[in-house]
Amino acid sequence: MLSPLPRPARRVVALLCAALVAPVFAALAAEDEVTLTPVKFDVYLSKIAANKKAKLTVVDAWATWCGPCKENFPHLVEMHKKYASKGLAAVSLSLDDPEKPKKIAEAKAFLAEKKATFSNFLLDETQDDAFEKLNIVAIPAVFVFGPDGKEIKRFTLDDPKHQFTYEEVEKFVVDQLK
Amino acid sequence: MRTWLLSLAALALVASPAFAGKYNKALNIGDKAPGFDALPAVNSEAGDTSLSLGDVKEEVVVIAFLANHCPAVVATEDRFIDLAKSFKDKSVKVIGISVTAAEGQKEIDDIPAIKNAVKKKGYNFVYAYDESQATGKAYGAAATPTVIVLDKDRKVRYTGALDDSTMNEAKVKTTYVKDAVSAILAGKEVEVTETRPQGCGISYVKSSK
Repeated sequence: MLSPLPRPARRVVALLCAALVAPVFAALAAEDEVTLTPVKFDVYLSKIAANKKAKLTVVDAWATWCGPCKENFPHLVEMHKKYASKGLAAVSLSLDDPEKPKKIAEAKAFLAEKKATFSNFLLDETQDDAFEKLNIVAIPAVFVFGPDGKEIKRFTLDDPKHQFTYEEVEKFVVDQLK
Repeated sequence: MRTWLLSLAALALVASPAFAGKYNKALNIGDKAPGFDALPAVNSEAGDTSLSLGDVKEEVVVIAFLANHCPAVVATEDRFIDLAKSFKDKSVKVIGISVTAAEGQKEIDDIPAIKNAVKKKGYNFVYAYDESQATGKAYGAAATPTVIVLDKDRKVRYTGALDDSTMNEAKVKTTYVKDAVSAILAGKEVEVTETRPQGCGISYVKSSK
């Protein structure tokens, strides 16, 4: 057993340990922890605007009940991996029913499985309000915001003759980050 | 303060198009409805059948773009059955059409699947499948469920959602489709002619463009 250190020395050691360990834990949490934060629509917009580090923010609107959304979700994860260092903030926005804990758990598990280590929001609105406020007819839909938090482009399925692809989204992102 | 102003600006930017009032990108109110011919269909009474708009004799036609796989459709299926029931003795034809062609979903929405759904749910309307997706495109259906109401001249009198609460029947206040059908039958103007459909995006297969 170690002999007890005098009180000031113990404090120094404790501080040193904290200083050494804390960043490691913080880094781990940022890297691995996938969270899902419920937000009202206006809070979601203000959070995007508040992220001053991002040159560009890409929001992917999805839900666990939407097959094509889940199928295409890896595109967002890929874009995050490829372009985060260039100033892209990836954000997912779930339209799952905020009143159904089972669905929320399912959404969280999906995000963890896909390693969505970025901002994941759950739109805390009724599903009818969610579509109304986002001004879309269907999901998946992708919204791109500039550095000032203004929406500069949206990709939707709303026009059957001009439906978006994730290739188009990525091309737009690459052009904007140039 | 700055953040607050920015978010307000962003909100205005996102919210303003909502008041443009045009959700259907293919059809306007008053347009002649696009025809469709010999779509394979299932009818709870007659079983296998085929469906052509030209063969419909009823005065009012309600066309609902549906997809069995879609939770927003599942949430409304009882309401569609009620709708057909409430106009049973009137000159109204309710038609369901699935245009799902995406791999992995097609199997849930094609004719054999429709047959099962009709049997299981007791659909009291004819339910067709358009593998070509041409009907969906012509009617501007971007999501399921989307409903279009036609009058006796086969002009579009309503396009949009079934009612004002697709996902939650308990919160329905205005029954848009029912109201439109009643107005047409009474020879009146339809009050709300276009609303925002919402639900599962219909993926249109590129090669059919």
